Amino acid sequence: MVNPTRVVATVCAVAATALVVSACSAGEEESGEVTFWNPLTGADGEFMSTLVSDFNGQAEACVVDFQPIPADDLYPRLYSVVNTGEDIPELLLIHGPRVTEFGGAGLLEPLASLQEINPELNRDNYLDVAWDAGVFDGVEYAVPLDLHGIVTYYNADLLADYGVEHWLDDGIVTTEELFEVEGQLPDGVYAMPGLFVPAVVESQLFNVGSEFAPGGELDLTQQAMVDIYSDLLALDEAGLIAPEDSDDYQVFNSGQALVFPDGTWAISNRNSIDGLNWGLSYNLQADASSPVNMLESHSFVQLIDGGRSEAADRCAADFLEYLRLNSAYWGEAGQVVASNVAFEDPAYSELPQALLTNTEEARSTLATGEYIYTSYVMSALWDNSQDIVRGRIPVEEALAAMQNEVAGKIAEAEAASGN
Amino acid sequence: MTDVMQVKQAGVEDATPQSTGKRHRSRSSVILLAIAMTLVTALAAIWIIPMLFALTTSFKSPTEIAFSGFSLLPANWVAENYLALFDGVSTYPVMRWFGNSLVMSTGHAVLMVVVVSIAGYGYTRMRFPGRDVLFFVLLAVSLFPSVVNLIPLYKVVQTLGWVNSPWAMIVPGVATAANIFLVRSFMSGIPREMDEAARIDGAGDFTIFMRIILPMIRPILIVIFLFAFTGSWNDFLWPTIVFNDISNMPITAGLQLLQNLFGDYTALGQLMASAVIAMIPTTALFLVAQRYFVSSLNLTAGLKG
Amino acid sequence: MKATLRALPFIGPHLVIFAIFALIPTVYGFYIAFTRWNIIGEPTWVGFDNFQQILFEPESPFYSQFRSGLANTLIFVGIAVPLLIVVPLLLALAIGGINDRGANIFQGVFYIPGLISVSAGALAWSLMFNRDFGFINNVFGTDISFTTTQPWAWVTIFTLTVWAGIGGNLIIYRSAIANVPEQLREAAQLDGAGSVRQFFAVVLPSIRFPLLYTLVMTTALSFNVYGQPVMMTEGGPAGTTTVLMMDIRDLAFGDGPAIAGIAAAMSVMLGLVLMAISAIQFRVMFRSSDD
Repeated sequence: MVNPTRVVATVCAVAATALVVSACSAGEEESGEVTFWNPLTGADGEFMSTLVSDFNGQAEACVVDFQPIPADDLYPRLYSVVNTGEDIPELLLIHGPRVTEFGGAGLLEPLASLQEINPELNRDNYLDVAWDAGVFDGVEYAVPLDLHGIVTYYNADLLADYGVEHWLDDGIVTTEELFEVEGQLPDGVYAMPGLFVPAVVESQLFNVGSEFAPGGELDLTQQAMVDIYSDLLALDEAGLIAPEDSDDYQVFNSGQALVFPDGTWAISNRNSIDGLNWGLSYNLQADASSPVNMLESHSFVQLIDGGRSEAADRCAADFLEYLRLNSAYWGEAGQVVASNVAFEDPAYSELPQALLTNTEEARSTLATGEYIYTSYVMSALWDNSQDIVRGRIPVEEALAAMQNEVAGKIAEAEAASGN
Repeated sequence: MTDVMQVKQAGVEDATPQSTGKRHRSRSSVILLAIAMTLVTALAAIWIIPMLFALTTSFKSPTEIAFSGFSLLPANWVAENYLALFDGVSTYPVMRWFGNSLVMSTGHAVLMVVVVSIAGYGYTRMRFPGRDVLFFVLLAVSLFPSVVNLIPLYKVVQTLGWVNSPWAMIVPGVATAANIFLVRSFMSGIPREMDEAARIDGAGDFTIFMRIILPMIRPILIVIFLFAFTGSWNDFLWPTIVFNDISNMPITAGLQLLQNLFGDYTALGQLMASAVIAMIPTTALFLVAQRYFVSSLNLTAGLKG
Repeated sequence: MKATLRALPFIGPHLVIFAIFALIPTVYGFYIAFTRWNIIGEPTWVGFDNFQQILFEPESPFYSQFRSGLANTLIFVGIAVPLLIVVPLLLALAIGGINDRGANIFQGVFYIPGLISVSAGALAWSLMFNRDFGFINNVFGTDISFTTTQPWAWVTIFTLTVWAGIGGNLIIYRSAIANVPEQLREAAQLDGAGSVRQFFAVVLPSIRFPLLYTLVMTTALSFNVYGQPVMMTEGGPAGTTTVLMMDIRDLAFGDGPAIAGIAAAMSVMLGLVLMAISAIQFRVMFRSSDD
């Protein structure tokens, strides 16, 4: 049998070497290297990684270190780092609601410092709605990368088969219109899969002119919410929503659903399926007269960090400028790009999601959740929507429970932040 | 789920080979055994199915997965899921991750075995005031649910300068008392006469530990090695917190980066492929270690000096 | 005192590591339970307020979260632990009767599933349980929606748990049983005891040490269950498989500002329940050992 002492010694030596090597490569910040943390994993990550290496490959460019991490882990790690005040990354990509959370906690570096280096990083060069997502309490903190959210994919062939192409006449599909195929669909064919009901609910609430906290007071039990959920429940009872445990992607991709409220990020998935004649339209609306597309931003921010160097700031600003000029490529990943430069690019306007930005009218439908505690609300919606829509819990009862839960969390959060 | 507080069962008591299978049996027990083995074989067959499923799915093309739903065998066996893992080397350093895992898991397992064996000796063979109370406290703390602990643990690790370093994976998990618990139950089966004889001969604590006890608990230490290695290998929450640089990550944490947000189902094949790849070293280790679980130790065979 | 000094070189290294990496974070976690903290700022002391809320205030949403979370965890523990003890025990008895080679193969079959990642294992089983295309419904001709109806939702969770979990205990039991002194067995046989009597009268008492060890460890692991319900049923239907760990995680690291104080309080309560049960198991164990 192996001599244990020798094994231990070898391992210690190897580990010590690894330790030394990693320690040596750690201290590069003085050269202006920018560590860039972001939640872009999988295919999205590959797009961004290409952009980063292209930027790095430019002559005299500083170095951006692309560090992706699953979104669920990004925030625990950020919390840990904030707590210790060490190893703070020079550039962060976070989701819109977190701008509010971190901004409110006084953790974010105002954009002014980067704008001094590059004045082009201003509202005029970006989509209004996307820019607003990075403003908190009147102060600009973030440069937007993109907006992403739920849109309605439709299967053109199926719409024709069941004679409902007129749904697209105004470019808007409503819940009410979906009822038109009630009773006409054979077994195994549905109006839509129900995976993203929570996002539809959010969008429809704003669509009918309301919000989660009318007048600043959270109210999830409001009539509008009851109506929206009741309609979806009726849709399910009519057999028009695919069963809860179906593979929603497979259902739509194989031609078993007329429409599919799904994310903009699924465009590449749709493209990879042969023989699917699909198109894209606004998110499922409740009221066709004032459509709203609820989206969420990916925003670049910096944490307040006394140890960050001038060189790093310059590098970050340069990188953001590079992205501003080249983000049409990012659009190929399926996001609604925020930089105006992309909109002037004819290649971008051919992309499916450009539907949301090609016209002024389209742009006026875009919105992001401004309410500070949107995250809590969405979390509750995701936890409960299937139970409501599938008839397991009565609508009002579920809404009351959600109201209670979110209000409780808000109370704790307010108290913790000293409000 | 963080495996830093490693609460994994481990352990074996030595088994004397002569007690397996060769003894004289009554007819009823033979019939009973036959029935039992039939059931066990049936159960084993069921056990294999999901693994087979994972394996064959890893060889299916994304289109096939999206369209054909369930089918045990792929219509076309493709290697693209596996190739994609190695292709993405520019974005995702898969081979580097593999190497990281090997270093960190081995280091962790070795440290665990060393620390646990001497601690086990201390709690079993030595008497000191408060020994059992202390041990119970250690165990109680080890078993405590640890979620919020993550933040202070990170702070401790950061203070030591171990953020982004393999040490953060090697050392903290050794804090658990669970494996000491196991070594204890094994050590107490070794008769004290041997210790006493050696002590009469003038041997000190350490000599007794090294010459007498250690060789006897070898099988259990091998099992603890296996479980410590595996536990460290499969941990993926803690590494994503403690490593800032993805090229320093272990493989299981790194492979998570290949997955998209929101169930991009075309990645199902890739998920299975990466799971299969990640399993290979731990499986290999198990197959090798398995031979040593059963050792020819005879507790009553005279006293050795 | 001298005895302690003698023991120090042996228990010392572990104690140091324990103090730094286990004790400090756990004590800190305990402290957080008495504060209000969003992890970003500084914790503020609130005394027993969090415990008050989750234990005694029915209007508080955390009260119902805690109760149902704990109840579901206890349901899981109550069923998973016996399964994870009895099944491998019976298996160990069975394969103990055949040659080592064969026994090792079976041991491998039952152990290796535990090596696959939680997400891959859960996905494989999700596909098995799939209503339209899954193995189960197709082979048995049923049409059950496993993850959205009870008691099937629990069944999927237990299936995954047992599938991946019996390997470790199997190894322990198999060796322990093989270690039962030959003389005792033969004596019982001569006395006319059949296999079943032998088991209860001879085998079981001889392996009580490892048996109790696995009992304590399996219970502790089961109290901390998180991955299986998250991946198989997402805590549904209607929250009936939402275990307490899921609530705790969500409060500490979910979307939106963290509510670490309540999360820590729930952890403390969960830990206390676990320790009470472990203490009972331990008491039994120490009474029958003479160290």
